Amino acid sequence: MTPDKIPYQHISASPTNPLRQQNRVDFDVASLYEGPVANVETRPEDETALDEKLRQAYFWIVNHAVISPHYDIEYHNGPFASFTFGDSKTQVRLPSAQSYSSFVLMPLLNFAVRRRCLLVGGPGRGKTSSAVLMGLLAGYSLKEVRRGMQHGQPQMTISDLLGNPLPADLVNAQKMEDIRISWRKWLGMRVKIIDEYNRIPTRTQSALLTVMGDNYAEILDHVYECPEAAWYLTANDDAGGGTYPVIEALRDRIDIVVKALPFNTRFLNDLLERIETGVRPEEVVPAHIIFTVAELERLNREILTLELPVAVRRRLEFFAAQFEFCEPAAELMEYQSKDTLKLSGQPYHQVTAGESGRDRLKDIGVQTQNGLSVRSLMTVMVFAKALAYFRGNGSVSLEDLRQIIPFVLHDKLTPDPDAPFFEAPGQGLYRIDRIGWIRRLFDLACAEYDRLDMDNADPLTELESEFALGLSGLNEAAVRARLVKIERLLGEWSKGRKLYGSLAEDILKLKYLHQRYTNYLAWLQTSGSRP
Amino acid sequence: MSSSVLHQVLASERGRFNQKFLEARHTHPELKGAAFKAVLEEVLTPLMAALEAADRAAAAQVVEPLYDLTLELTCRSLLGPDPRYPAVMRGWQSLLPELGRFILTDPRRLAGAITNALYNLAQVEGTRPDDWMMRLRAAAPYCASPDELLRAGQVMAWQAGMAHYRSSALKACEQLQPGLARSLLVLPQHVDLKAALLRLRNDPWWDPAAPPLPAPALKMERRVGAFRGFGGEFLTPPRVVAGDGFFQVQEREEKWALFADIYGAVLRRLPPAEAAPAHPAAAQAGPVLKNGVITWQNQSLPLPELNAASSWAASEHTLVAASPLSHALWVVAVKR
Repeated sequence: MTPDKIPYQHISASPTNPLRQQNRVDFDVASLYEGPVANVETRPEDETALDEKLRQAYFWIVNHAVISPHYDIEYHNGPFASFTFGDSKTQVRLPSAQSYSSFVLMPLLNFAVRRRCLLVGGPGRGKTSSAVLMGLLAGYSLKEVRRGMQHGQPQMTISDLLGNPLPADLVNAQKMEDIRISWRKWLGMRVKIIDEYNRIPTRTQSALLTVMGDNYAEILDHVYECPEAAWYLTANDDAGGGTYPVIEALRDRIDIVVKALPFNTRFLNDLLERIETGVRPEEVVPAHIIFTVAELERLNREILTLELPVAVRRRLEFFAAQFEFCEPAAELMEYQSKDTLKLSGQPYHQVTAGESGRDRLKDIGVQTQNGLSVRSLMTVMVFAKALAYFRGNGSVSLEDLRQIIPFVLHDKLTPDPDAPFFEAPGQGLYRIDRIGWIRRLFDLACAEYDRLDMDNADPLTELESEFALGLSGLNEAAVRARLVKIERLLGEWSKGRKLYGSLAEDILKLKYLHQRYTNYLAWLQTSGSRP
Repeated sequence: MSSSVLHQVLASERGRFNQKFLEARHTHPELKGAAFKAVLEEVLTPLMAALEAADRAAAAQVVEPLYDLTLELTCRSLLGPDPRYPAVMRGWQSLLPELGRFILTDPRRLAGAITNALYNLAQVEGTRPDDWMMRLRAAAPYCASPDELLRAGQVMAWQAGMAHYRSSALKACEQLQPGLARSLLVLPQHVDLKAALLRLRNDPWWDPAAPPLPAPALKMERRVGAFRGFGGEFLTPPRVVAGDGFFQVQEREEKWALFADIYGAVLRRLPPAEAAPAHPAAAQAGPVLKNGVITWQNQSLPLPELNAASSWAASEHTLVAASPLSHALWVVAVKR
């Protein structure tokens, strides 16, 4: 088939997100030839808008490839209609702005930021097809993608996964360096797919962990450096119900979890059409939505440089601060963490039962058995930027953060099903609905943030901005004044405020600032240089 | 008019072309067979007949891309018995057949670009798409390549009323062959092209084709904007302030940019982030409005409607005023 005779080549016309168009004023006459007929004017490579290309890829996938008529990533632009159904009072909101299907969008964002995505759901729901499409977007042929896909199975060995030493070299070699390794081709691919990863034996999982975590493979002292890649792992069951239990470190390396949504039978006609036309969308991906290596590099670079405004970052800080703190775990505040408790091997509930004074219903930190790692916080920020970029915005909005957090933290936050929150009427379902629960957690954290008026009355803001100006040039009197300010604030806080996670982090931040000023003061006094 | 090439190609792969139609109808259930048939007969057939006359062998190669494009545009109601923008339909029927040699080279790009240009022209109030088509048709024989034709089209779009393109269109003009650029600007023989481009950059009201004025004069050029209920932009009477490179118009929470020059005046909605800082109302050397009279140097222009103007702003060349009694803005030019 020649390119112009291939079906399903229609790509959504630019702009795919009219909101984005509103956000910029284009007085350039070059836009004269942009309109309903897509891609008629070729711009130089470095001028191609990659966010637009990413959106076109998204819309091509949802229109032609993966039948996912869901809009669970909801955005609203002003008022929206909402309806309530059933005894459980299920709300159906009609989004008033462009909204998306997480099952297609999240893998695509993962493709753009080159992280590790786990697709979970029952068999035959499009997990593998979705991963294959990502390989095709990276410019591989269908044959290459299929051959590069690793199928987890109970007999999978490290050699199956990584490669073999050449048999002749094994016999003739005098030293290890003489043994040549035949590396598996998939290691060099920019999209890596591991199908049913929870069927891989534990030992092979460890080898996979090295490739996933450190981006290299090792056999007989030989190392293969892998290129930056987007990973896609699939599993029929994310609760560890595969043939082999997934090692925790491997689970921890997974950056984002996407659930396959059920098929809506009202779209059976689309399936029928595929049967009748005999066209498989993965065989006809339009050339226009395929990304070159240079474009992938640029895409990644552009996403990472997107702005995360301070106001949004503060919300994330406040939210993340809730979970790690565990007062009964240690004497020193630095060690009062759930991680200390976990490492001690003491039963979680036995230790936390002794907590008193805090409102266990209001404290969202009580709902989890662990805190957030640095890696997961970094992943949240990267994917929030990717989502904002995909939407054509120049900075991350609070709603971007709210939408992305449940998918990134899906496997990172372990709920405590015995927490009072889950016992409250109508909230038992959050024990099952992990996405809904994490989003609710974020909403509760934001509500508390607003109640405390942290945007306007955060006592640390002034101290942090003062410190950010640097110590150079500060005289002794100014340093002492700042030390007094910190001590006064800590004194105020110590008078009866309950200790919550966010407060504990603020206290430790003040301790940090105090120590930095103390050290500087000591230096000023000993060096004799008193500006 | 008939096209044997079109007939042959469609007949030889009838099944596949029908399949394309069915696929398009799957995405656009509102697509009607009769509408597309009319497009094939009234749009594609005359176009193919013209292309066939130019180069029969090459014409056979462009049937499919043009079929695909007409199908796509029919799905979007841009072509067909009741098109959203009749200018697009007219362009396909009268302009594209005249651009045969360019269409044969790169059918989708050329036909798509012309379609998009007409679509954009038709969307901006006060522009003249038919003038644009007429001038592009006239310029086509002097263009060496599709790129040059499209660049000339950009300059002509500005001249057809897209005032917001002025600055970038002048840059495009610099990249044209001097002869073609002179012809597009309708420059008299004695006027130097570089000097003309410089003057056009500095004076939005200079008309290169018009005879020189004996003396500078104030002139009420046009009224821009209207009540939204009558198809205009504003719900309430707008106000105006000076901005960077354009006049900034505010109506309730919405901000607009007003561009005005000798070829037209255009209002473009501004997102809040794009709103330029307001400047003092009057530029130092610009006209001034007081008690319904606009004065500049020793000239005055009475405009009684502006007796109770709610706001006004001026640049060196233009004064824009708003009245609390009107949804329109008055644009007064200093013509030199």
